Amino acid sequence: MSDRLDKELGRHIRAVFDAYEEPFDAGQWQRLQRKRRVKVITLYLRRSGAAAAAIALLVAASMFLWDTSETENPPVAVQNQEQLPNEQQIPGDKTIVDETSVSGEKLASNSESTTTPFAAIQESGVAAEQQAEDLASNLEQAAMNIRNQPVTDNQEQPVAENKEQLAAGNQEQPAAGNQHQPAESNKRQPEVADQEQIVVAKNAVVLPVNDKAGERSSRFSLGFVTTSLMNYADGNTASDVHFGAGITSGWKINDRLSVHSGLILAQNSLSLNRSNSSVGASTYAYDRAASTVLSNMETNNIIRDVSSNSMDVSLLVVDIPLNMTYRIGIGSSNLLLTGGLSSFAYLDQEYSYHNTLQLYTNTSVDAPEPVIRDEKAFSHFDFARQLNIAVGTELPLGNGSVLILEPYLKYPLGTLTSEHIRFGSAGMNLRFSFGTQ
Amino acid sequence: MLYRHFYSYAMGVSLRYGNSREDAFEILNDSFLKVFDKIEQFVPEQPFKAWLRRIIINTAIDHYRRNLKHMHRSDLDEAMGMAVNDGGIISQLTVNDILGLLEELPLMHRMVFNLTEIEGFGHEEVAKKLNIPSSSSRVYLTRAKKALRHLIERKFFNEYERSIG
Repeated sequence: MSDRLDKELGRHIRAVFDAYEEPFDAGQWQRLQRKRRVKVITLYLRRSGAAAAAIALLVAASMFLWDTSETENPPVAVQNQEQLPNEQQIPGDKTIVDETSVSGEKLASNSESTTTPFAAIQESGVAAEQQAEDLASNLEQAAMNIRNQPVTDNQEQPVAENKEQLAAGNQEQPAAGNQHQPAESNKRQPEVADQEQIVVAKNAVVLPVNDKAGERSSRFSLGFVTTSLMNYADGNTASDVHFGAGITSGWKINDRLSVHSGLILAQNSLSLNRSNSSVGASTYAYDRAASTVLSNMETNNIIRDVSSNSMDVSLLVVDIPLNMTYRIGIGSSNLLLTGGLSSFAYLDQEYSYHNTLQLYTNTSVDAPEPVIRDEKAFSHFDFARQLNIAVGTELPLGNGSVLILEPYLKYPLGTLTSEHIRFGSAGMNLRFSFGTQ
Repeated sequence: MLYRHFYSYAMGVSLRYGNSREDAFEILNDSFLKVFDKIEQFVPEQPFKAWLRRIIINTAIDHYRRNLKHMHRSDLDEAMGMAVNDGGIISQLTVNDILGLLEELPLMHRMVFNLTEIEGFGHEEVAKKLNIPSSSSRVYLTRAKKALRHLIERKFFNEYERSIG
C-alpha cells in the first residue's frame, strides 16, 4: 500500500513541477547579470593579479641577479693584482686555464692560472721572484692602460697592445734560470698571460658598462596602483564610485622628468539620456534595440512604435596610460605634475536600452524590461582617446619606495566604446612604487 | 531570450531542491550562468530542457555540498509510518503543499528523494553524486518516504477527512 502511495506521490510531484508556471521576474535577470559581471571581474582581477605578481617576481629576480653580477665584477680586477704574491705558493700542477672564463666569477681561477709560471719559477729562486714582479707590473700596466681608454674606443686595441707587451715580458724571462723547467710549462706561459690579459682587460672595460647598468636599474621602477573613480559625460545621471587596480612601471629620464605606463583594470558606468550629446547619433544601437523590440512584438494592434529614451552602460576597462611626470621639489616632499594619454581595451561592455512604447492610443509607456546587449571581450580598442591630467604628491617609504597620492582627471579626446560615447572620469590614484632612487 | 523562455521550467526544478525560494533563485541563476558559459557544449540534436535540467540538478547538488555544514537534522527517524490510506489526498496536493512538505525534510533526505523518485536516478548514481555509500542512499530514500507519508497524514489527512465528512 505504502509503495503505491510513494509511487503516486513521486508521479504527482513530477507532474506538478513539470507543469509549474512561475511568472518571469525581471529582477532575477538583473541579479543574474550582476552575478555574471562580478564573476567576470573576479576572474580578470585574479588573472591580472597573478600576472602582476609574476611580472613583479620576474623583475625583482632579474634586478637581484643584475645587482649580484654588478657587485661581483669590479673588485676582481683589483684582486687579481693583489693576490698575486700570495698565490705564488700554490702548486703549479693545480693551474688549469679555463678558456671560457670571461666573467667575474671565473676570475678567481684565472688568478690561479697566473701562478703557473710562478710555481715553475719558484725552484729557480731570485729569478723567479723577479719574473713574478715583472709579470705583476705588466698586468697592472695593462689594466691601467685599458682603464684610461674611453668606453667608446675600440676595446680590442688595448687588449692587443697589452698582449704584445705581456708576451714580450714573458718571453724574455725564462731564458736565464728556467731552462730546466718542463718545456710544456714554458710554452704555456705566454698563452696563460694572454688569457689573463684578456680577462683583466674585459673586466676593466666592463666596469663602466656595469655602472651604466646600475644606473639604468635605479632609473626603472615598478609599482601597484589602486584607483577610485567617477565617470562624467553630458547627460550622465549615474554617480557610482568605481574602483580599479593594476600595475605601473616608470622610467626616470632625469631627476625631474619620468615616463610612466601600466595596466589598470577598472569599472566604469554611465546612465545616458537619449537627448544628450555624449552619444554618437548615427552609430547608436538605441535604434537597433528599439527595432528589435518592435520586431519581437510582431503584428499587434497596441504598439505603434518603440523609441529608446535612455541607456545604461557598464564597462570593464583595461586602461593603458602613457604619462609624463614632472617632479617639483617642495620642502621634503615632491609635487608631481602628470600629463599623458590613455588607451583602452574593453573586457566587458554591457548596454541596457530603456525603451518607450508608443501606443496606438496616442499614449506612451516605458517598456517593462530593458533590452540588454553585451559585447565580446577585447572586441574594441580605443587608442589614445583620453587626456590624463594629474597632480600628486609622493611620500618616501624608504629603500627607494614611494607612496604617491594623485588626484586625476581623464578628459575625452574623442568617442569611446563600441557605442561611441564621449566620456571621461575623475578620481584618485594611490600608487605604490618601488625601485626608484 | 533563453532565460525568459525557460525561466518557469527552471524555477520548477530549482524549487524542489532549494531550501527556500531565495535558495531556489540562487540555484536558478547559478544554473543559467553555467548554461551561458557552456552553451557551446550543448548538442542541438538533444532537447534543451533535458540539458538544462541536468545542469540545474548538478548545481543544486553543488549547493547542497556547500551548505552541508548548515544542514539541520530533524529527528524523523522516529516518525511513525502511519500509512495514508487514501491516494485521493495526494492528487490534490498543490505546488505549495508539496514545497511545504519537501521543506520539512532534512536536506539529504530531500536530495535523495528528488534524485531517485522524481529524476529517476539509481541509488548507485545518487551515491556517486552525493558522495555517500549507496546503502545510505537507500536508507535516506526510505526515511524520506516514511517522513512524507507521516507529514501528509499529519498535515492533510485530518483536513481531508473533515472535508469529506
